[in-house]
Amino acid sequence: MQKVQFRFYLFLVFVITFFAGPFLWQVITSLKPASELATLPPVLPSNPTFENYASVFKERPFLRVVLNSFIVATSTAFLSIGIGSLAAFALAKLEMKGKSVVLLLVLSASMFPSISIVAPLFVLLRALHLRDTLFALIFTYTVFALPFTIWVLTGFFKSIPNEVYLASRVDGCTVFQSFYRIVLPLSAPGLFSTAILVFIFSWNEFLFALVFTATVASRTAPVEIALFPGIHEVPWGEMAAASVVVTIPVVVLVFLFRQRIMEGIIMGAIKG
Amino acid sequence: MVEIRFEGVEKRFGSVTVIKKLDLTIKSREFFTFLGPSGCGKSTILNMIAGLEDVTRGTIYFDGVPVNGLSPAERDVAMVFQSYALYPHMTVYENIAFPLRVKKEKKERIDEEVKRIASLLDLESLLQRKPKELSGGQKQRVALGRAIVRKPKVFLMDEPLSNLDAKLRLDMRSELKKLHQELGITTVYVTHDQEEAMVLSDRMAVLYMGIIQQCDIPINVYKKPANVFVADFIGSPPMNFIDGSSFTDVEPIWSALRELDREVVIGIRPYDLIVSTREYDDKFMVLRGEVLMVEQTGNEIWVDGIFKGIKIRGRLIGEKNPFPGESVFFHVPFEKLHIFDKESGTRII
Repeated sequence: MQKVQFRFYLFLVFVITFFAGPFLWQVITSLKPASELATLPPVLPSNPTFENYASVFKERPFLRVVLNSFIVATSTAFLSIGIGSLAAFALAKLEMKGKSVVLLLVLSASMFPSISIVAPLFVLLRALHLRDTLFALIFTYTVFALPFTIWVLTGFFKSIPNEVYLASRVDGCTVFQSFYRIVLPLSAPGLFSTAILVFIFSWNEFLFALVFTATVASRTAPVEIALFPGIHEVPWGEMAAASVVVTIPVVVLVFLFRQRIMEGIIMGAIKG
Repeated sequence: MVEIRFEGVEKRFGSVTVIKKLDLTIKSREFFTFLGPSGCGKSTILNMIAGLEDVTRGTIYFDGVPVNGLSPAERDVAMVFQSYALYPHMTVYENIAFPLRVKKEKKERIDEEVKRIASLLDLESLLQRKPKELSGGQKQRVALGRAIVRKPKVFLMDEPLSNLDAKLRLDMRSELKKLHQELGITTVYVTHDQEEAMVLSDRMAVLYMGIIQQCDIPINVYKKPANVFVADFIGSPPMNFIDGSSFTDVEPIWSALRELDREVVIGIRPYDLIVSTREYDDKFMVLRGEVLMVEQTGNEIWVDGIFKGIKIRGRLIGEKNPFPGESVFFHVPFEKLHIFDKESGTRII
């Protein structure tokens, strides 16, 4: 018994080190003065400094960029939940011909690797004069997040007993009232976890953000960090600090809503 | 209160016809039951009345007004589902208030109505609970409350008692009956439980393969089943069926059967078939058989026997149990015989 527990904890330590280690290294790096950056092993410096953080915000337009990221990720999450939940509701609860065809089409749309459509999308957005706008990113991300959203939410909505939906219809709801008074509240955990996953996806996205943006007006955080290195030097400390800043919202989100996310995942697993 | 009339109503799912040409009038204030085995189309009829499913052909009228094109909300019907279908994210209070809130009634009136229903159904102490904290019987009462709170024109119930345990089912059954008497709302009830149908209904229709086999008051359905299906489906234990040709040496039945001049099946309810070791007088038709087994079910003793190779079941009154293998007489008064045409299965006498 004792031995099993010991092994379990050993395994736990290994797993935590594996996942949290790099992040921890990042945090440590961000607190080091430039002179100590290359020291190995990466232990906490003797006199930790917040210089890197200060210079990220003072000498670079990082606040603006993080705000961009936040606007893009939040809007994408709201838009894809808004549009996706309507589509998923129709697919899960309404009488409709060719549901499975629609679902398959939606799925196939998400199979294109982003690299294969980044060029045509760029041409399209330029033609629409949307290059270097936040909307270009929101639009693209929403399109990419929708298949996932629709699939997941269709599963959630299907797990709501049909009789509950029918009961609300008999109780006097229009189709849309049934949707927002019964179906939406009942799938709140699913909506939450899907929204958070979409948020994280848009928060982290790099390729589209790199290609479609040109200036600070619409640049997002991952792209900005990638553009930190100058011709002569790579500011590792500042990059680490910026990365930590960018990671924090995700960590906070997941911690705040971990109960909801777990509920969502479990609910989908058992009933979906 | 509303009269519901079906005129040539048909329902098809793809190529499968679930309801075949239904012509029927459910009277105002009536408690009407559709009884049938699962898959006979009874729930489909309910859904068509509610407007949850379209009618393929024909028309449904409420008080002479066609309702085919109306949404469930416009029809003003209420429905109780087998699974109760309470809204899990709402309290009991909110569940009952829901239909009124959708109608945008005033807050004070909603509160008043909910409280009235709660006291009627004995739910006052549960109003702040969520459905998952309720027992089956309590959920059932909430579902009923939600249905009656807005005084619907029609009350639809889809096997509302089948998820309850036996004792509770009896309690709820009488509660339903009482409720109907108090409110006088036209009620359409669907069940596969013949006892429920017999006890609750003013009239009932036995449904099989999408066709009404018989529609009458319960006692007539029991006493004069219209065909072999109804006779077999209604009554517990189920009716004995004996081919007419087995009666060649049972007088005076055989001469009577010969006069009919067609092949028949004779049905006898086990309750009417009295088992005795001695032979009764000639007011009875007597079948001589051998005992297979005796079953005691509390107040009745059923005797399974063999008559000319056919298994039959009779009832024992006041005599001591016969042994398996013992020779006994099965007696049935002539007026309790049900005679059906063998080919079509319809009732002759």
